[in-house]
Amino acid sequence: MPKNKADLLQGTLDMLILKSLSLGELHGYGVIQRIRQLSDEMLHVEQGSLYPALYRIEQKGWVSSRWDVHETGREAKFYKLTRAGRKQLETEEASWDRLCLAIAKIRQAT
Amino acid sequence: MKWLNILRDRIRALRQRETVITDIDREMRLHIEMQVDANIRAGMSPIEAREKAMRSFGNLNRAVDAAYDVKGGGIFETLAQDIRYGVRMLAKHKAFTSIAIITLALGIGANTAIFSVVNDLLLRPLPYRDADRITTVWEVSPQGRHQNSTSRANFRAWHDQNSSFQNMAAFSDQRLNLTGTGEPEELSVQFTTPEFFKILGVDAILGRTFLPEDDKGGQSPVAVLSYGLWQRRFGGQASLVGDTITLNDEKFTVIGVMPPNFQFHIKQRSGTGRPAELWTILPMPVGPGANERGRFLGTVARLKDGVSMDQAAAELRTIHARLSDQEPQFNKNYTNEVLPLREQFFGNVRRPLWLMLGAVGFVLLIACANVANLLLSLATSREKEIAVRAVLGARRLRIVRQLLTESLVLALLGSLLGLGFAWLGIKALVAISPRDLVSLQSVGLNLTVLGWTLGVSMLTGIIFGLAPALHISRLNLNDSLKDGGKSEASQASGSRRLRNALVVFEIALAVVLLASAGLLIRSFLRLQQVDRGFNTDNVLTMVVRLPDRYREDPQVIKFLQPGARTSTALADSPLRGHGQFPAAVRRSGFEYRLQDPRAARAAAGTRAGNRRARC
Repeated sequence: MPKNKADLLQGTLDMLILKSLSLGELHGYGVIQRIRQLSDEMLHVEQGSLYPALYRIEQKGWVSSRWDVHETGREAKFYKLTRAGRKQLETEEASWDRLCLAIAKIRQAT
Repeated sequence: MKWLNILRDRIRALRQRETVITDIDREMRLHIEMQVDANIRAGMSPIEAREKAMRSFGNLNRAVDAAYDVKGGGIFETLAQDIRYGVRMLAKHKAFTSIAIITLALGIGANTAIFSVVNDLLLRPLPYRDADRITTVWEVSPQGRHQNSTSRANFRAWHDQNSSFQNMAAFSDQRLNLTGTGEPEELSVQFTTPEFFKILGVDAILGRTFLPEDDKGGQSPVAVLSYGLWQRRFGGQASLVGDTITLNDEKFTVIGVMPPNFQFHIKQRSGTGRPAELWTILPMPVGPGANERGRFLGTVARLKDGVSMDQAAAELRTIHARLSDQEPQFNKNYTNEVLPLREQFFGNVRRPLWLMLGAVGFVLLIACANVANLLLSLATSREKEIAVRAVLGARRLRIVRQLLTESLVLALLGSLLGLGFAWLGIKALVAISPRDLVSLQSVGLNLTVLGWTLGVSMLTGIIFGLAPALHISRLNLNDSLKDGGKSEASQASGSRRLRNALVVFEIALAVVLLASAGLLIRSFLRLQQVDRGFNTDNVLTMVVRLPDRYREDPQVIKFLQPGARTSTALADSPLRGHGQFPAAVRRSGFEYRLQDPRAARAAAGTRAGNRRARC
């Protein structure tokens, strides 16, 4: 499995989590899986860093959580994007785009 | 929002630490189970699937810890731990704790008591509307006497010619006899021009204050009562407004009652020496026969918006210079001065008060040094405990924080007891305070004072706790962990140096305090021993003002017949009085003797002159 910690910046991890939740309610395991799938197996978030990040995001009010029964019959804690979280995702994506654009321009300079 | 959530999590963790941890642990274990399921679906054997899932998850405990850092009690939790531990430590060393708490309580208590006075007199706003725009105006005599009274004519010139003040009022404190209801009583009465209450911006709670029409003749004079007088003499009856009362055999119509605690008392310049209980209009007659030149008026004024105190003072000086030119026989070499109200009331106590605050600050520093010293000697017996903590992985910062928390707990306990001392101290201060600090009656433990005490005790805790904490945390682990925790010579000598330094510091502060206290007492004693040129033993003075009925000296003498062996009646008693009071000059210096061997020797200085209630 191509593991790319790629030195994920703190803010980047937050954005990835928010993005994966923007497609629907998920538990922690699901968040990791979705990030992996969406990145074509290029990004693998470690559990050890996922949960602190999730909790921090929850404290910021960007996601809410509840315990529920998973389709396999197991209990799991599900996270859901809040309205504030959706807005945060937009700002973060916008600023990320700006950053990418700026870096691209610098790289294309001859 | 965010801080609220974090705070909620922190508090939850403090109260249900286990639940929070179990929750995190459960979520992570379920995460692993899902991975196991996925692995099995991918074709692994159950054992292999679990092994792989565990491996990919990494150290479960560390992950829980990392998550708990976010969701747990954080700094609150360590603080709670430290406080719990600190209390336990203090309870174990009872002798140390009680001595330290009493020492700190004395220092903090003294500070709180003095600060509450400073706060009341120097920091709290004066009880008038926009009090920083109110000033007093005085003359300065050719002899350089400041805060000298002014005359009607001069006041009128200031009042009419200035463009710096919204309003200007004259006032004069005098004694009037209240008769007619119950015991006759001598009241302190403030005669003012009608703008007086408007300038101070205080309204009556019942009825009204003065209007410009009240100054016109042809009606009985009006009176505004203090709340205290209203309650004391008239039982707080609202129907009193509109009634008449008798002052010096003249009828006055009561038009209003002021709120409790309203007063405008300038002790040094007051003709009665006590706050007024009644206000009435000061007549400002003009023309022949009117006393326009006698200097007996105080002046209070409110600045116009945007005019500074200095501008106003400059303008008034110009006006006064003109007066000097126009009427040199009255005003030559006289100038005037403008004083902010706070300066007027408390200018003479400001420096002593800051001095006192400085002194009790020193006392507190000495207490800090003392407690720091105690903490250091206690530290010797705690070296092993601290060393064990260090070995188990506590960082130096963590140890310092724990020791500081203990100090803060100690300081807080000290300040609790200190508040008790302060309460007693304030009562004592109020009891011994001279009458002119009348507003001291309202000094108390209010929120500002409590805030100050809390701040002081926190600061105290850090001051006396920091040096020992830094010192102890710099332990040589190897030595300290040896049997019995006996420290090596170098360690002991470092500790001794610090303690010696503290003792030197304490003694230096104590010497400064003692020297200043000694000087103050010496000045005080010398003041008391000043030779006045006459024998004051067993001599009393008192002031009695008699109404117009007592017109002739024999009548006055008959009235004054007290149980005194000898008494002398003067217009003004020695060492006080207004030299330029015409009435005083007229009546000064008659003497008589009464023979009554049973009585004590006394002298009654009476203002027999000035019989008219209004001069």
